[in-house]
Amino acid sequence: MRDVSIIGVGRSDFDREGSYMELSAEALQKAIADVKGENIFRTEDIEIAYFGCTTTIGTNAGQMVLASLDMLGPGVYNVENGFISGITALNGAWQDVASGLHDIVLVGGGGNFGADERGALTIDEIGKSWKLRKTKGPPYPRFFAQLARRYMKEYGITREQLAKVTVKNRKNGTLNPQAMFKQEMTLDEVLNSEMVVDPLTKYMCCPMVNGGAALILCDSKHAEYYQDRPVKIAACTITSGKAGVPYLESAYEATTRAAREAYRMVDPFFRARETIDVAQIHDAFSVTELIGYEALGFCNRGEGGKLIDEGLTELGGDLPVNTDGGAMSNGYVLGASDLAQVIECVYQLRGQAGDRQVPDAKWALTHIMGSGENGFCGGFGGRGFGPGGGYAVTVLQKQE
Amino acid sequence: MGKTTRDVCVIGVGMTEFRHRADSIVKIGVDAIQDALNDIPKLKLSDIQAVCCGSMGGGPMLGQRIMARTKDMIGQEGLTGVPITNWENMCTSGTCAFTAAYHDIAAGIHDIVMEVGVEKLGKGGLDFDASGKLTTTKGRGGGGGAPIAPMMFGLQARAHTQRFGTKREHLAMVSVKSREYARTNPNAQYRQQLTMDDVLNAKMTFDPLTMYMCCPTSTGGSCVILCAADIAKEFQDKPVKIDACVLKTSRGTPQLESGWDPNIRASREAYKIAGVGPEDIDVAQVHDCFAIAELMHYESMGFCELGKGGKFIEDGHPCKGGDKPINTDGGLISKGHPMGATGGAQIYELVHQLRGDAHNQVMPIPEVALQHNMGGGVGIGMAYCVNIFERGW
Repeated sequence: MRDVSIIGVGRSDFDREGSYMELSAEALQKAIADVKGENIFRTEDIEIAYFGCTTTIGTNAGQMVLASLDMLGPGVYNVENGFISGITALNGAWQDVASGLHDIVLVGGGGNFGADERGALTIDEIGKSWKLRKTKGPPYPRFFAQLARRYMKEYGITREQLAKVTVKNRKNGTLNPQAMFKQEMTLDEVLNSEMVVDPLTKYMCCPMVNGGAALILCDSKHAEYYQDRPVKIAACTITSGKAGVPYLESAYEATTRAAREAYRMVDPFFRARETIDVAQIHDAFSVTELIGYEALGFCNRGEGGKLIDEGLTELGGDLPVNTDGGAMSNGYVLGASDLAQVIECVYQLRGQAGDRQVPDAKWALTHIMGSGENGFCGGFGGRGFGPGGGYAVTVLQKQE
Repeated sequence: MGKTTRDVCVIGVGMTEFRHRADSIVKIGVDAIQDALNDIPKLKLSDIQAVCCGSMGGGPMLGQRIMARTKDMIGQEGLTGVPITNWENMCTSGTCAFTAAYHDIAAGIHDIVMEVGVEKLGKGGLDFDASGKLTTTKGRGGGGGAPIAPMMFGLQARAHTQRFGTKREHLAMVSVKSREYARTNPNAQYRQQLTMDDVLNAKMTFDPLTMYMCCPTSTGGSCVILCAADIAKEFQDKPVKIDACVLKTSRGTPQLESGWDPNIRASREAYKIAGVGPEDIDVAQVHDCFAIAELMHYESMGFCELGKGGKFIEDGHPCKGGDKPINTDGGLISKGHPMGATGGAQIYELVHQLRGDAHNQVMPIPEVALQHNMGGGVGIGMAYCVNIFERGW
């Protein structure tokens, strides 16, 4: 297997306007422009493309985007995997280059989730597609609130600690010119905002938006030719939930399994807590970030709250998390948000993150998870994160 | 483009019969998996390390939904907690999922990966409803005029006739040949025989394509189990080696050329990677969604000269007993076309041909086989796949 590097990245602003076509095309053009000069890299050099998108947009989405840029010719694979669609496209592209089949591969992703009427994410008509709908019992907040209550009871986590996740991420968002929300929030504002499902308030849940993101991959040996500061994909693992895991345990199990596999892929003695310099952790709901700390091995079980109290994961802390503001500042779009996490890590490792730069970052990690009909939704009846869903962990390394 | 770091083999194939039925899409997927497991008794479901699912209109996270039911429906402990990915590329969804599984093993990430393709459709022509979801319609197509797909290929047939003098009889021969092959295929949707007159006098869908020259929509599933070549012999005495997997999109070429361009580029690259030529192919499956498409694929795959597709079938090369048997399972026209499952079903047929136990066994037993699968319409991009297989024992 060959090593694979990222040589170009680009993302659109995430907002409630625009369509996935324009936004993905914009991201793609930015990624191409991000690779070194005209005579070194041309769009014709792209041998194949992977496009992550979920079912709210039509078939052949990747082809439509490439056609709008007049770039058709190479093959396009379209990947659907719910919340982790983008990272699944990256995983496919990574395997493609690693196997030696292609050398320069494009990864794109995008989605339309903000244009519809505002509301909660639901699944329409026996699993045919996602839909935003105003509802009294929004399924995802309900499920994660149930998880949060259980988590708080088991480990003595407080509402303030949940709110601190939002406060931290919104603060980071002010430093990211591409974030949707650029205003800081105080602890009181988060705690006193409208209650969605107890204990999750409005600002502990992320909004749904539109957006696009793109990356260009190349085999590591030639990466420096195309990019002065290439970033190596050290590991990229995907897994799904197992059946028959106890309720609270099921929130950790699949993420831990994906992380362990990723760490092992980097180095059998990889010490995540000591090595990782910056991480992007799934924060669609503030509780998932706290559980993420623990599941990824950054702290012991139940110490997620302590970690955020100590300010370890803030910018300037020992292990900054969600430096681009995460989903709390950027919103969430199935297909692009997970790639945006990778892009933020690339900026950090290149030293291009501006005001939110983590000094001397060498290793970065992204974590994303999500599910459709089964998986989390298996939890609607109180059965926990059932089988299915998707959980992905990516480890990135500054290429020396 | 190049050689992969390690070889990959197909060790097991399975499919359900293709016909309209009330079963849920999840059940059809599990049935296909069950059939593939029956094909390799030495392999347990829990030996599989990753799953790639292909479907065009199956909805979000279909692979996860299918695997969650394996425990109840297959009886072994089921398979959960493995990486599951879902691939959509119109009619090539299944083939793209298969290619993803191939890349996974070729890169050395996993050793045994399963592809499952499944689709559930109603009767009638393909259409999209107002929200862009896949449906079928008995009436006219989206624009209120003729159904879209037959129109695109019908216009292509007219252009081909105008330029090369291809006759309606040539188109009809494709359908007649297809039914001859399908007669012994238990999984085919239509098995009754047709004469030239039946085809030519059938209801006109879009001139010159009659009803029998168009493939029917269908419901069905298929499953392919792939394995690293170095351990394939542990599970299967006759593993089939994958030589090349190529995917291209078209480039907005004009009407007639768009039927060749991406297919020619894909087949050329596949031949180059595999180190074989069209003359070495012993048996092939091409995407005969419409009779004209099959004639043009003969040309694109290099089996005959450009424009000579009609002559090629007239001389009987692709027919039963011919020297270049094509669509030996009846192809899409007789077997039916459930998009996500079509790619896997083509591989199913080729693997059995190479093993020497197909229902329409080509003699002498083939050594090299070609699969061609395309998705989307004419001249507007989409996906064109060419895969080459050979004996791995």
